[in-house]
Amino acid sequence: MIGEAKRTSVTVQEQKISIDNLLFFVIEANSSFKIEHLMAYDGVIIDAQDESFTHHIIKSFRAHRNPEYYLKPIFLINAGEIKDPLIRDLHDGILFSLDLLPENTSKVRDIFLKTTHLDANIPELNEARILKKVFDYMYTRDLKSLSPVIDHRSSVGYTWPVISVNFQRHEESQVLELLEWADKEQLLNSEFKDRVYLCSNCSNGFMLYREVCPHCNSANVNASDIIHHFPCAYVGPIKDFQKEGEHVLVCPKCRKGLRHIGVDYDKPSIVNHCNSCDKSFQDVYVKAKCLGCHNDVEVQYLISHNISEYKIATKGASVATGAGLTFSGKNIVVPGTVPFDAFKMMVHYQLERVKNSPQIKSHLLSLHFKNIDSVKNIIGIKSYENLLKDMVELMRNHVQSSDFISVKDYDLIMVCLNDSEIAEAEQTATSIVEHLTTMVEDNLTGFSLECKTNLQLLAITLKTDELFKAALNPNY
Amino acid sequence: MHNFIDEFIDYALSMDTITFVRLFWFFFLFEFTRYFIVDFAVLLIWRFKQIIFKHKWDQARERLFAEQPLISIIVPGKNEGKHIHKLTKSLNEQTYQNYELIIVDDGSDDQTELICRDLERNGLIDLFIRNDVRGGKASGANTALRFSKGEIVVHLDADCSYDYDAIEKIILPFYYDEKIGAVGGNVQVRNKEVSLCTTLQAIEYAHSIGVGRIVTSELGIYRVVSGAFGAFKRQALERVEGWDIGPGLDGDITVKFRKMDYRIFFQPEAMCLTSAPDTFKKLQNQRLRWDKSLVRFRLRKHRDVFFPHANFKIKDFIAFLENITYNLLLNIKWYFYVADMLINASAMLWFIVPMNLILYTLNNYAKYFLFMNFRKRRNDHRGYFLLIFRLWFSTLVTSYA
Repeated sequence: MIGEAKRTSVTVQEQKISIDNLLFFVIEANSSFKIEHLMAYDGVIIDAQDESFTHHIIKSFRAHRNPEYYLKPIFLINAGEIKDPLIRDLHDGILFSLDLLPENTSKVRDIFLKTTHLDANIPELNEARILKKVFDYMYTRDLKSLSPVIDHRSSVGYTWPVISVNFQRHEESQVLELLEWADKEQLLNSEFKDRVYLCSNCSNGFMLYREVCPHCNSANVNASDIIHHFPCAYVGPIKDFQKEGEHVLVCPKCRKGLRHIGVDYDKPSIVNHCNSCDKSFQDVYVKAKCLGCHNDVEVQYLISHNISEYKIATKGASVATGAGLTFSGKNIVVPGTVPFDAFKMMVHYQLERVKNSPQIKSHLLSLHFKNIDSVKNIIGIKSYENLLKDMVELMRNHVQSSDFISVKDYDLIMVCLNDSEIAEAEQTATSIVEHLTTMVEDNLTGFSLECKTNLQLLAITLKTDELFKAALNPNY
Repeated sequence: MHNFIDEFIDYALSMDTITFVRLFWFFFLFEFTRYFIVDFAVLLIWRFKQIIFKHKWDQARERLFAEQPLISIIVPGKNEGKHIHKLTKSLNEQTYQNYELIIVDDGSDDQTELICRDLERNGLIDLFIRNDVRGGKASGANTALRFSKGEIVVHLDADCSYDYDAIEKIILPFYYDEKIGAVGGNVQVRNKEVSLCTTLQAIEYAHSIGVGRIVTSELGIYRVVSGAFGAFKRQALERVEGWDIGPGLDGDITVKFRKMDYRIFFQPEAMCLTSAPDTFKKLQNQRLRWDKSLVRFRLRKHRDVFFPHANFKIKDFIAFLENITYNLLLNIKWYFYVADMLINASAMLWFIVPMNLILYTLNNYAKYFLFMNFRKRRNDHRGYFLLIFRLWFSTLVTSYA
């Protein structure tokens, strides 16, 4: 039990402390309780003698979906040296005594005040929800940046506590991806700090680096000096020249003793010998064995990620107060497609071509995915982007190589079907929709993709803007 | 001019045989006898043996492909990186594929290491060894030999290119005759159209290697297995513990093999093309280097073959003697012949000089057309010969007219 406060304005009743109309709950070390019971409290004070317990409690609050919890002011008492970055970055103050609590009430009130400015809408999409939480927290705590902290418990070796608290330790690579995505969307601005190399299989950053045989991957490799004896031109590993029990080196070819390096012999190189497969080689492979999945990969195939400090951008700052968080696909790079601006230009040229040669028939096909937000909510943005790439690849198999495709947004893909008659274009459109629907259904059990197609002939009477006005409208 | 030719012909016709041989003894004694009569006789025997032993060659080939021995292709060299990829592609096309390719970079100062490491990583080279300090051709070859595992070691030059069946052909003789310890490939000129110098060398190679080595191999006095394309029994190479320092290491190791009583064989079917020096200056330097090696290893290092002792073998003796006679002593004898003519027949020089030219020219043409039937790719050089012949003939006719 924490010692009782003596100040008159402070009322202590068991684990509750009331001060200036603010009600705090004191969580004793290693006590059991449910945080849902603490909603009515304005803040909590954690007895931080046990670091893992403190970590657990802070994570329970900050990872909660409800802003009543994840924004709740948290103070620590009896805290020694804090090593855990999550505890260090996610509390609102350390109290050396409960007597000092009144001095922190202004901070609590400030948090409450800022909380009232927040947009109450919670996005459905998981990534958006987490980013909204992060921006809310940063806004209420006046945080301007998310700094990476070295943490051996994080699967990538670094952690950004404010955002990482929402993920498990082994999911830290998802934090990286989300931050990189937010940077790409100009919600955050990155500043390079370090670079890490992650397992290509499980995105773990902890590896055992070894020199291995390029033929059999065994680490049972011995390096040996090669000796060149000048007078007789014999060349071989040093063991050829060594005689048991003797320190002098003797040439096995001419039986002369080696005397002076650089004069009668030299060591021009080193050769490695694998004791497992009995092969010799100079160039060992450096391989990294992942401690997470035990996958053994060559270092050049590890995936590099920049570790950055992320400063909040204007666009990101406004997310907390109600600007909303929209995920657009405009920056997505899909192999086999052209950027929308270029696509528009190419369609324009095709239209001009049609005007010059009216016998040419070309069509613009728009595919509007009506319920795509649900897909994003189910599998997340990253996986959806991968799915989108697969969808484009599938479409490529159903169009001519001269046709061009553009991903306008997450829910809109456009294809210019060049030199195709109407029947042919309609058949292509039908075929694409059928295959896309089947593919999505195969990947997401129970989900049915709603796809609306819009097929327009590139007619000589049309202008490019009119063509795209209709193409971009899902209800056309 | 007319008078001179008339007089020349009249003089030649009026001369008796003994005087004629006396005046042109050098030609009749050495050039015509050794390089025409003997060569032709041996070539006939060789062709005859080829026909009657065809089944034995077929059996050798069957055995080779049944056993599929691992062979080691070793390529030592400096600054050869630019040729290596082409070489690996050429080897990939070979009919015989059970080989390991070992490249030794002997202290290159260009991109060779980078190129070869990349090829090694991509599996086109089995072992690449880089020596930071240049140690010479012998040390490069010995390095490769030390780390090779094949029963037969094939030594190649990186800048040469090979027929699609060259590797198969060069290792085939080891299955034909177990006494064969080393086999030389048929090295011909690739850049024959670059300059007059390379054209002349192409003709020279076609004769001296394409035909000459068939003869020496058949006579058992084949002297030098070329480093550009030579195959060796590993067991024998290990006995002599690889190559000694140069110059003349190719000839040196061949002599060592002969001393161990191995037969040295020339395989005309194993075709290799090399780039010959394209200027006469470069050619001169190359030939000086070769002649130095002749003095070094034949007259000094292996002079024991001239003296009867435990290692004495009559074929080695003849091979050495033939080599020294035709490549060293005859050069001196030529001066002796010139002196003889100047002293004893100075009044007839007007006849001796053009007649020598005619004799040598006719001899060469006769050899070319006659030996063409024994040479692989017999028509390769016909165009050049005909061109020279046409030029020579038209000049003669014009001047006569």
